[in-house]
Amino acid sequence: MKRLFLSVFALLVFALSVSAQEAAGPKAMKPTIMVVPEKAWCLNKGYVQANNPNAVDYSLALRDDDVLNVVTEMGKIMAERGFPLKLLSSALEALQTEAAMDVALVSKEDGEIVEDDLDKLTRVAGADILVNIAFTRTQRGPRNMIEFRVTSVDAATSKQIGGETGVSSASGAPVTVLLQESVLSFMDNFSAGIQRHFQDIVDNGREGSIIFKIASDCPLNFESEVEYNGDTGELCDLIDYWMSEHAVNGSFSQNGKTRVRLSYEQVRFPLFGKGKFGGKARAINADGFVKPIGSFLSQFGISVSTAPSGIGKVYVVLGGK
Amino acid sequence: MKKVVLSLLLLLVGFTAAEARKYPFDMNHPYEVQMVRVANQGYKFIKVSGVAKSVDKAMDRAMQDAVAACVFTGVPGAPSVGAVPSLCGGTAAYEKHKEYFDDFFKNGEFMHYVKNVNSNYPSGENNIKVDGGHKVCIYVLVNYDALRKKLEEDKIIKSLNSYF
Repeated sequence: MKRLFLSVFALLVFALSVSAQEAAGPKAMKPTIMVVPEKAWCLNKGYVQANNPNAVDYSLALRDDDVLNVVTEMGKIMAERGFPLKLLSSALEALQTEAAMDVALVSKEDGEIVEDDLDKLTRVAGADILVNIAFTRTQRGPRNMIEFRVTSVDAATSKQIGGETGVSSASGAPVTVLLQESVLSFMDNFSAGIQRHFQDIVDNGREGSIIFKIASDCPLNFESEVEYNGDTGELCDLIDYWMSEHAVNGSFSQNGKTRVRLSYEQVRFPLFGKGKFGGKARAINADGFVKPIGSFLSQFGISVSTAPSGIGKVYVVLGGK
Repeated sequence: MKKVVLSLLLLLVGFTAAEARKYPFDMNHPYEVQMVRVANQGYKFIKVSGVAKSVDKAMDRAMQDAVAACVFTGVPGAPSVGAVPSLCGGTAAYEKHKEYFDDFFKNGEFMHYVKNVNSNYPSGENNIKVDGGHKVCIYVLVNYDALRKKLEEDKIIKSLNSYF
């Protein structure tokens, strides 16, 4: 009798825990935020690469004490709000050791993917939101002032999420204190802007960019005629059709098309998709969203490989089977 | 008999004291608030005016307005300090959680999040007689971060971390 009671009790506890897990549901992928010194600020300060005066040397900029103070202060506040920032210094270290993916991205002849330094950094860090900071120290007699500019940008769409400019009070206090004051004065508006962005993502789907490329061994290009369901059209029209069927509310815009390149931006994709194995709903990124197009295009003898960059950006290379 | 009268008297005093701790609250008057500067992390240094029949009540009203502005409308900035965004994103939140906010403001719970930092009683231009009684202007320190955490814990607003 005791055993039976225990078994029933254990079964009940198990059933309750399973239903609780199902009720909680999967969590959407958490965006990564990284603070970087603004490009124009770095160029003005002379934090540039030795062989290219127009390319920023981020490792040099990170030796600036003021940059470190601002990044540390912002990181502290964001961590308190449950949203730790990605460290630029660790992203730079990862960039130095990371080479294999670069080869994969640039090896396709026609489907070559060109990245600048910031693109590379964003990809390696997996940053979804870049926060550009710039500040100028000005003197008024014995007093110091800090003028600051903060811009947060969605790395996938290059859209500005929020921006703050301001001036600290004029004071004889150490510059570190003035920098701290500046950070405190913009942080609430900054995090309110990020929060509005998150609410928009939850309401309308995450916004992303998808860039299709044709590899040299692909039997078709984007202007090739294809037939689907009795209709004839170009391959790019077929991809348009797939996008409109799968994007949230069919929301996307095509922002460039050639025979070998097709790019979409403002693609609203859902936060969750069906998992491959087991079929349970799971959090997806732009890569997870666009992956099923592989089975759709396989009927035309096209294979698909993808290279994600952060949560919201993915390169899709179409090749021969 | 004497004991009963004494008990009743004590009860009456108790009720009166409890009643005295009630704070009138409405959403029908504009807030006269302005940021002065950011203080320590999480605190906002605000200049605020309040009108009531007595100076003490006007000061309470001003402190209540400072907290209400942080919650509902935000606080305008000054030349060397940025504006503070509202925690609830607008006055519509009041209608949605009317019972919660009425309780919060009328029972004086808001007093845990605001501190009057004036060393003296308001005087001169900071304490003038107006039609409704007295209008005072005081400097207060609002614990904005603690207020935000309370609203997050009470599920009135979402935390930054709750979306993912």
